[in-house]
Amino acid sequence: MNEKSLENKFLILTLILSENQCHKLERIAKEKDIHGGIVVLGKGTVKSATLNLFGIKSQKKEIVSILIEEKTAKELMDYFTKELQLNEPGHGIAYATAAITANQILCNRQDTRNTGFNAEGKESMYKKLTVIVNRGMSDNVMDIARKSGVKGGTIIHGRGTGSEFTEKLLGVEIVPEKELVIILMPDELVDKVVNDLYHELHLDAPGNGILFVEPVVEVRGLSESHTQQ
Amino acid sequence: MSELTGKLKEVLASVLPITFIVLILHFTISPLESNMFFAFLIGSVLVIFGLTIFLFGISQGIEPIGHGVGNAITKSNSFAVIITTMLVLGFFISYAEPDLHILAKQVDSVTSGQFDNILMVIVVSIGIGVMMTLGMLRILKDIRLKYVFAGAYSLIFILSLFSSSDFLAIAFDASGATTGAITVPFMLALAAGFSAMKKDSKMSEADSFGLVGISSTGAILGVLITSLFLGNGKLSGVLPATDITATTLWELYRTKLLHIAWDSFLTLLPIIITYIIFQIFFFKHKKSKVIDTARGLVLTFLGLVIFLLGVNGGFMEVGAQLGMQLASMDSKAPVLIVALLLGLTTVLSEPAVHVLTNQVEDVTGGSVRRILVLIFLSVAVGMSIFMSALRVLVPDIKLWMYLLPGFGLSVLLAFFVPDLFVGMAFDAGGVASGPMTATFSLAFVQGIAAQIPTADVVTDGFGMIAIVAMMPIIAIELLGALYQAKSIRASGTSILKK
Repeated sequence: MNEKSLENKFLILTLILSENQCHKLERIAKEKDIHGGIVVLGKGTVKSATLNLFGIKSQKKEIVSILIEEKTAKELMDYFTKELQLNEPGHGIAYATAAITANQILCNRQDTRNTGFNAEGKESMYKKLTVIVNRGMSDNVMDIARKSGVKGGTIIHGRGTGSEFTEKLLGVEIVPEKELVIILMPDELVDKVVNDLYHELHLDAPGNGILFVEPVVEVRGLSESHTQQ
Repeated sequence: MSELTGKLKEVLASVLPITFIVLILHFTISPLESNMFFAFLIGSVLVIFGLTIFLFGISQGIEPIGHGVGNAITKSNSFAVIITTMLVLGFFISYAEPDLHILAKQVDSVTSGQFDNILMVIVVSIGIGVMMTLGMLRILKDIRLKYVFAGAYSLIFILSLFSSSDFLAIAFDASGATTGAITVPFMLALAAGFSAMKKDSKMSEADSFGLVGISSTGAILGVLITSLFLGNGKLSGVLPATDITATTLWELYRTKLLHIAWDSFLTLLPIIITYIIFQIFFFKHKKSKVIDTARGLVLTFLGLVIFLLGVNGGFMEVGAQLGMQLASMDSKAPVLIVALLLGLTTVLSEPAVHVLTNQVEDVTGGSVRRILVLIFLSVAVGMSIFMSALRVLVPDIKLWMYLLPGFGLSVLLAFFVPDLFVGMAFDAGGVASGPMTATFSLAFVQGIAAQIPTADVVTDGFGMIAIVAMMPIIAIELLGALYQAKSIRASGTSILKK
């Protein structure tokens, strides 16, 4: 699958924003020609004692994950920080983590890149694979992954963002529903699983899905049978 | 504080449009008496604060309980538990609904005691209990929603051939009356909690909706089946027009607060009892969580009382007054236009509409935006009030001329629309016919009827809720069809590949 091995490194940019900011981000991300992110809904904590008194202990938050190239990362983060006023308290946070393998559509090019990242030089035993597919496809993902030796995964429900082909209904953008599958697996499985998923899900065609692998420093609770593969 | 102000903004955006319309009418074509005008302004403020508190209460009290109960009975893995819980719960939720009792009393008097009010409340509650159980079993058995609705509405159609059109109107109104401000959020949460346990994510999403819609067919079936045994007589008794204004406008006004507080408490009671039972036997939550839920219930109660106080105190009289003033004008255009505008705006301040649209965003991960659902709902209810006003003005239009093609279309469309939207659509029908419609819009239509010699306040009032329950179904299904078409185009190649 490593048709191209580029020098480019990939980062996963994660932003935790309020609903309105998230819609703004989706808009400005598109202007910056960034496609193929995912948004999931979450809950943030509430610090205010007065609000806690009323029982308001959580607030609606949206978590956006976007794959970006490392060389543009800093500029993008600065841009988002400025546009969304992330410097002010309560306006949301953004952070970037390293991805080892990534596959996505960038400017209409479909590349799979092995970026050879290592978490602070420490060789970790496990990797975290994230697959983003259209709604209802997560079962296929898990079926393929199981055949390749993975025991289980976690499915999160979200919506896509920054699709290149957008349709509007009464001025409101239609965004496709997505599913995010997270699978933790030992190192030796990663290549096989990624390969199988890449080919069986036809990730080489645009719009079929995105996957990326991140290094994991420590893992607890993973069934030992994983390693028997 | 952003959470509080955010919610307040959401509520303001939904209550201010109707307030502005009434203000504009007041200063232009339809001036209100000054005390009525001030009552309306106070009412608007009460509605805004009541609705804000209520929505927080729902998300902290009613929704966690509904979710928890849905989860717990799924985990029980026993049909006996599910069926018993649903039958009992459905019956009592409906039995406790004050709107149903008001409707039943009216029906009792217009049928001169032939359709006893206690009998009516009981048959409607049994209907709701049975259909709610079926609605849950459907989720377990993977029976697609459209087949359930096609079945239920075919049965309603066959039964309606054997009963008078007046009973048909009563039956549909009963279904609107039972899906109140508390019931709908609870049922929505119950279905979401129940279906969240399903493995197939696409089905689980779609199954989060539809329970309200299925349950409300129970009320219709209950009344129609009973009417078979009562004979097909037309409404024989007469409920004097003054009587209805007296009970709704003046007597309620005086004893309002206590009355509303007691009614709201009764509506909440089945849910409180359910919570206590489930807490002891299933949930076994920690003390802090119990306090959170209890606070949620208190907020729900307070919010509902303040909201209803505003609606009954300020809005209802204004509705009736506007209807009468506009209908007495020579031209019929103003009254029809105002009917449309009122419909467009009142639905935004229905409490259950907020709950439904938020659940839509939650369940679809934000993919279906609440604003879209709101726009379609708003247009649908605008059309409904317009059609109701038209029916009052033109005696030749019979209720079945709306209901037969309307419900026919909604069942037909269900076969061409994604399951998610089918459930949402039929739920929206129950959601739109909430307290705001049942008081303000109904008073407006009755006000028109009072000014039109050919119209009858009572029989024309019956049936309006049926139309309000019908139009949103079609509207949301159309939204679903558009949405599907657009999202297929949006995700282009991936669909082809699959």
